[in-house]
Amino acid sequence: MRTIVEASAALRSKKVSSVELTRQCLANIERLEPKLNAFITVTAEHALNQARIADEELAKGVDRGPLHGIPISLKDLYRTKGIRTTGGSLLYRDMVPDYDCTVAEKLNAAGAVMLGKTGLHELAYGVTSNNPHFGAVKNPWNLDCIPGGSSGGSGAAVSAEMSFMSMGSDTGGSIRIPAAFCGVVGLKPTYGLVSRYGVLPLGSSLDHMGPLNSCVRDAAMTLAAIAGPDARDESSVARPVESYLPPLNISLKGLRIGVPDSFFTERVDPTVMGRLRAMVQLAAALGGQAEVVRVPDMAAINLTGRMILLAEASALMEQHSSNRSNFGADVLALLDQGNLLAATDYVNAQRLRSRYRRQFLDLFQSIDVLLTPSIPMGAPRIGQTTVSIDGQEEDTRLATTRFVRGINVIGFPALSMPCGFDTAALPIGLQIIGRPFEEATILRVGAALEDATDFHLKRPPVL
Amino acid sequence: MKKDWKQTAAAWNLSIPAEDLERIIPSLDGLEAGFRPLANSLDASTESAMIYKLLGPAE
Repeated sequence: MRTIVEASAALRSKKVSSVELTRQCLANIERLEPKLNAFITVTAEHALNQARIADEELAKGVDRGPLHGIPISLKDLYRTKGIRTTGGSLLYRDMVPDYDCTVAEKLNAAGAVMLGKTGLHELAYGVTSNNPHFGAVKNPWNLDCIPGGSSGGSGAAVSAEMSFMSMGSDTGGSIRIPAAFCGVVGLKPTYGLVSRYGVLPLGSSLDHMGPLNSCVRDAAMTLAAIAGPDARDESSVARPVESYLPPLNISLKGLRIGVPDSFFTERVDPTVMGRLRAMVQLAAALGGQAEVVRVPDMAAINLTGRMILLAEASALMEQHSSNRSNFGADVLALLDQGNLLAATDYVNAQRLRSRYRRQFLDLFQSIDVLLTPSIPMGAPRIGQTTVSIDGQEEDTRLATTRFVRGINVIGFPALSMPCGFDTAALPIGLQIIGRPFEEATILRVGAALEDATDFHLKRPPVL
Repeated sequence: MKKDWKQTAAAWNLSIPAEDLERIIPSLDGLEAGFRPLANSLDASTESAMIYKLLGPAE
């Protein structure tokens, strides 16, 4: 049993208890943590106490919804009351918050069982999760490879069945990258749909909170539990929470599926490109109308995103930057770059952002979703600074973020889901991008494709 | 005209060691080369995506 859909049904039919599910996850953590290093803090006693309460409540007929009694985890930048929250950084190594962030509050209210806090790239500022202070998180599909980042511990924990769901955060791809590399589902909701309150920020105008899950319907259930307006988050949008859960027997009839004519099809591993084509064909076979579309200038959007993130992250860390020993070398290099940028460039990047958002809204007048690869290649090895794609060398960070970063700039929702394996048997992700606040549409497309394939059922060798 | 990052670091009194600065210059040069034409293409009517909204006490 590895999905919330299955576990939730089993809890209600009394085939399993929350304590049993929690013990199963804790056993997997104990067995696999020495290999994967997916967690920074495991809260076993806290989890078992919450599980006992969930079992009591369910026995009395108190039902808090599909996450009730489900063991989950949070990336270690979500503030959790009384539980250490490190941000993967020396700066917060001993920080024990005296309040819960909004997402943790909502998950508690939904009756979820918190197993612990997952590892991440230092300050969520990178894609490898090779953390100089807390060690490298490993990929369950190949322990020599990165799980992606920055939510690498969350990707590894869900993939290795240590946790039914794990909350990640996504500033330039940090949910979708580990989802793709670890063979799980990752959802970056529309900017403003899920509260950022109480989560350690990186780039405030780019940070998105979202889950990593074992299947698309689990992502839909999780979103319904964590979405909603929050007066404590200035960017929160006052929209009612919908039911995002896709139905069974989905037809994509009438759905207009955009397939990019450029950028997302360039410098891509041929196997990844082959899987994208296969998924587009599958979507068409399910009734969708696939059409090739011209996408806005994604290279320019990525540059704009880099400018914004460098400036915002360095501004945030300025008070700490005089003590260089607080930071690992790669994070320090990014903070130094941000400190050298002009304020006018940051403002102009935010002006360019308005232009690109408009261009994407125009594009989405003729399509309902856009399908792209999540990442141009499978997971690189730990410590690998460049990758070779289709014969061309590229910086690992830039290659990994190339297809995902721009979507943070425009703030549209995007889902990464498993769509196959590369020649090294490493997972490949499909990215489904939708209109703002149309999470239900991308989840429906994702569930339709998932129902017709079995990539999400494959288990990593570490198990 | 190419930016002189070393001069900027010195003028802004940033304590970046010389070898660290040397290492990030190619990345900054690349960003500058790509971004400058984009910034120059903006017209005055394009507003920032980050707009200050003043809300009343009841809103």
